[in-house]
Amino acid sequence: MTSSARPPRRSPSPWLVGALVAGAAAWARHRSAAPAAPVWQQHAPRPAEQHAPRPAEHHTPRPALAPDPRLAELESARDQIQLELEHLVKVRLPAALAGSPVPGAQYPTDLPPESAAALDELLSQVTTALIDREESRRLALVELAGRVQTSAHRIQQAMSGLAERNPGDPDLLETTMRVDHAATQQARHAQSVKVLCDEWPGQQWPAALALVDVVRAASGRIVAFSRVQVTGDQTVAAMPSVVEPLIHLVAELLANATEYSAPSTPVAVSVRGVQRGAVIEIDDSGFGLDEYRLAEAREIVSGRRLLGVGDVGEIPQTGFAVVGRFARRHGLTVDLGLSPYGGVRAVVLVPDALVETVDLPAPASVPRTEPEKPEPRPEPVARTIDTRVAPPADLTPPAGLDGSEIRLPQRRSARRRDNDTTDSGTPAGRPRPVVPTAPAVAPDAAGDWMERFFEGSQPIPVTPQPEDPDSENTTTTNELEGPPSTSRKDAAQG
Amino acid sequence: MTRSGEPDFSARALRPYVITRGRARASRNTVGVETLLIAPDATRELPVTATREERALVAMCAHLLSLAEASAHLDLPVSLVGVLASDLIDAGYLTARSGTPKQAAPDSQLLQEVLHGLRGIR
Repeated sequence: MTSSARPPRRSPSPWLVGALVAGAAAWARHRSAAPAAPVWQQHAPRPAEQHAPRPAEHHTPRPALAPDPRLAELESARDQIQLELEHLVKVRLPAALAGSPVPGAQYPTDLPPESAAALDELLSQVTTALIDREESRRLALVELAGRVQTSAHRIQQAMSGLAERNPGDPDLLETTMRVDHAATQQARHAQSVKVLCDEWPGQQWPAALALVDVVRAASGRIVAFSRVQVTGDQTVAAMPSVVEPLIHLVAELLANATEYSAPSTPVAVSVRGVQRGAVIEIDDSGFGLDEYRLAEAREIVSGRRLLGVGDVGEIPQTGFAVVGRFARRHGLTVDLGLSPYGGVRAVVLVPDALVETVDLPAPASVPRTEPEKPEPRPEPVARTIDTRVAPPADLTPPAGLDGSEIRLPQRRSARRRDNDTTDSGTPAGRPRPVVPTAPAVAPDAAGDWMERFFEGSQPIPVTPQPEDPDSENTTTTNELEGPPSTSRKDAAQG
Repeated sequence: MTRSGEPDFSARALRPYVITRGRARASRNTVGVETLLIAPDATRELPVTATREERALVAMCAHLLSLAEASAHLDLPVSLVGVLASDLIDAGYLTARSGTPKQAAPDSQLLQEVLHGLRGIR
């Protein structure tokens, strides 16, 4: 308070009282933005005497019939401010904290303009501070999750190299598999955090992936991968742009399915093409969800209700929240329902625009004795829903009897590949093993040369020339064409 | 987006432990790199749960094929294909012919000649 500390030398005079009244009114206006204690109390009828300074303290009680108009004005202003403060605390501030649109003042016209401005300023400061803090927290989380994911990928790379450098060591291979499995899950959790922070995976797969393999790749990202059983159409595939989102989305659904059903039970997944695209169905045989939880979960997985990293309280919601975010971003339809197995059935519909057809990975085919029409395969063809797995085209025998001479598998550079090497039949994006071509022979004949080869010292009959088993001048086959004139073959075992 | 400094992680989506269902060992230890595989009845339907790799393996073994070549075609490590092939042999979809009978292993004399011939290529 601003009253002087010195004792007054005279009794208070009327002009002083007037000044005090005006000062009090101004004080009330200035202090209006500061929350006062009674604001947090229940709105109970208050006695007339309150915290506003009573400049009439030193006077005899004033007659109730003739209130000072200025005093009444003052009291009414005070009551208005009180009402607005309560509205601020109960309505406007919660809205600002929740990030929803903030309603305006309750009676903006009755409020002194300075007070209204002060309240608005308060709210805008709160909102700005909140947004800034949220954003910096989001960026920090994304950064940290990115580091975790990167380290997981480094572990995976180190492990894969280790196993490849030491072939034929099953113990080592098993260990690398376990580490790989753990690192894969670490990467998934890190990526989930990123997705909940509205950050999207940077991973882009180069080629379309069959949906059955999408599901298998997803199963690799959960603990109980061996419980996942995939059946269905082998040829429906996801476009490259949605391969990673789909893998992660399905992994979260599989994680839920395996965690909420008995460890001994399988989780059945089926894939099939439908009119509007392709469908992945995931059934678990757990207890399912009660009606309320199921309705809530459906809201979340469909992407109708987006949850952020600050909204996921319970563990199951993390997965559902990630699913919903991917679904909304990529236009995938995800729904949950009751499974005929008693648990939950999750259905993912991949729209037709994101679906293409792939063939089984088959080795390069070659024209057989009568040349067949080579089938040019454009990337995505019109999809036909055909669950039968077509047998692949003719396969190249590893080596054949060219007339009577044998050609062993040879390494060839692409530059020097001659035109008899066909390169159809391998899905795009996969490195193709280059197979030397030869007219096909009966399978048993194709095997015979190999067996004879391993019999080592046995000469191989070459029709045009008499054999010379003891021949020392071993001429070797020309890299590309030259027929061997030797009876012994160079072992070019890969 | 991928941050700079993140290693270029271009591994496969299908991890090795998924392909072999978590096993690093073939069910039979007779399957080696040089083992010859053939599908005795290529028309026989595989179970619905058979994976794309298994289907492709049986399809390419309509003709005799060594495990090493099958691995190259499938673009998978030999150790993994060995596990898959063993399962298919156990289930009767493939038949193995041992590549190298011990008694018929090439002798050092032959190997010497092979080496000589190989050097002559260059």
